[in-house]
Amino acid sequence: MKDPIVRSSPLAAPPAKKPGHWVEHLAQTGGVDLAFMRKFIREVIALIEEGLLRDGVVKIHNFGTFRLIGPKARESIAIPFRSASLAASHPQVVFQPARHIRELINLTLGSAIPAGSRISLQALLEKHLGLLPSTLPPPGEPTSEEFDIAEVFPEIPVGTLPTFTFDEAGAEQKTTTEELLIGEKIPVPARESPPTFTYAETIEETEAAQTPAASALDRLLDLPPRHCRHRFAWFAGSFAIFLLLLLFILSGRISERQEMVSPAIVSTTSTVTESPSGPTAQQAQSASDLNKSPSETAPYFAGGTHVVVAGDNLWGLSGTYYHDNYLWPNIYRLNAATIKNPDILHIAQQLELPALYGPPERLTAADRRNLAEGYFLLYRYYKENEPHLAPFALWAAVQYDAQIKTDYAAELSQDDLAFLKAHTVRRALAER
Amino acid sequence: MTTTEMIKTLATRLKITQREARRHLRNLFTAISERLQEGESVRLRGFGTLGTTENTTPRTYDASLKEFVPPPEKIKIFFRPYRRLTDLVKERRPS
Repeated sequence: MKDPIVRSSPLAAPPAKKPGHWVEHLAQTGGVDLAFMRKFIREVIALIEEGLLRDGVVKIHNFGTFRLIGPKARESIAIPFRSASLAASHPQVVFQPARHIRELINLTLGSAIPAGSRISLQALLEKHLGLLPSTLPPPGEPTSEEFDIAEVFPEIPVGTLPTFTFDEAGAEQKTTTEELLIGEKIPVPARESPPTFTYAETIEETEAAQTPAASALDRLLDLPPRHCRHRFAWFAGSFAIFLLLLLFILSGRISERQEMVSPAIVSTTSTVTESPSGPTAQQAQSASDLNKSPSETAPYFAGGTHVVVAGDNLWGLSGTYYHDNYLWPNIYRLNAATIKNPDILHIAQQLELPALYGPPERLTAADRRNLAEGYFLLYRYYKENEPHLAPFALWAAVQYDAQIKTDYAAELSQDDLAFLKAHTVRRALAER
Repeated sequence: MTTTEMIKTLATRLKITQREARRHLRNLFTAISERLQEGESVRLRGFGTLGTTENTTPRTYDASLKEFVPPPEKIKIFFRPYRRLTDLVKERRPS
């Protein structure tokens, strides 16, 4: 155990120690050899230098900050010449210690208790014995009495600390006349009754004195003291808000899942009932049969015609009529004969707009099939003109109707099928 | 530069874990601060000296008492860089 240092004067010269002693002690504490510790310190110093040169500041947690200040040019007057000139100065390295280090040093070395100063017992305990404020009486209460330190502790020299003992009630303070050793930790006897209980009691008593009716009601209802009730209300309120938020998020997720699941169910049932016989039959049916509404309800968009004006494109038209830009291959499908390049429309060109039976978020089976056909037409176009985009169009077609893959299996290349598989896995991983 | 960056770099350079680097760094600065608390100076060769000194603030005039009041007794921590570090800093170009 390290011997505590007894010093009569706070600013007395420290005892001489061998250089390097603390490094050896540090190595022993860290469980490493001296060479490693020296290397470690060298590296730390190198790092601080690097940080200073690079950023101009090195912040070390719980220790302090090395900072580069400067360079500030100052004005100087050359008296013989009676002229002012700017004298260049160089940047300086300064160290700003952390607050607790400053306080610790001033506590142990400086005048911890100035002579004749009047300080409260609470402040003294908080400052010098490290007691938490929660273990003390509440602030503003008359329990913290002020006293002259020189009158109460006449034997104790300035700069040393008194020890305190408490009686059972915790009301009286007695001092020991022993001189406290600097650096020694002072044991403070624990009070028998928990301080929080005392605090609550005092609060209750004061409240009872102030509002007798309310406290009588509390006693009658067997309620906890008022500050406890406030705390309980705070906790209950925050817990209720948390629960509400959780419910809100969960309900949103459930509705999203239902929306996602329902079209898929519709599409699977429709593919089973329709069961197209082959690609040729499907192509023949696509224009006539599939445009019919599967249900008797009114379609989301009844269809029509559109004359192209300057600035029109399929993406924009889909957004205008279907309220979903991604459904533009549906228009392209019906006008594939007149549109050579889906990226280019000609002014005054007349386009037929196919009907949409369900809203974009709940497409019917017929809509999905139409869209798949549209995307497959796009796949054909891309395969001829822009092959790097073709697999993506195919992937989109399969997303709308998986049956299309089997219907047009003859047209699909092995590379596209491999891409389809890999891209599906990639998307699933990304979503997860 | 912050402590976290320092710990990561130390762990890489010395081939130790970050936990060990953090522990050694904490021990080092705790030891230095303990030395400072004991009133001793810490000399880090090639870098500088950390030490404590008395408050050098000049006395102030209290108009109500009509007398000069000495500065409060206080210990300050100083850092005196080595010549090598000062030269390095002088050569540094401001970024």
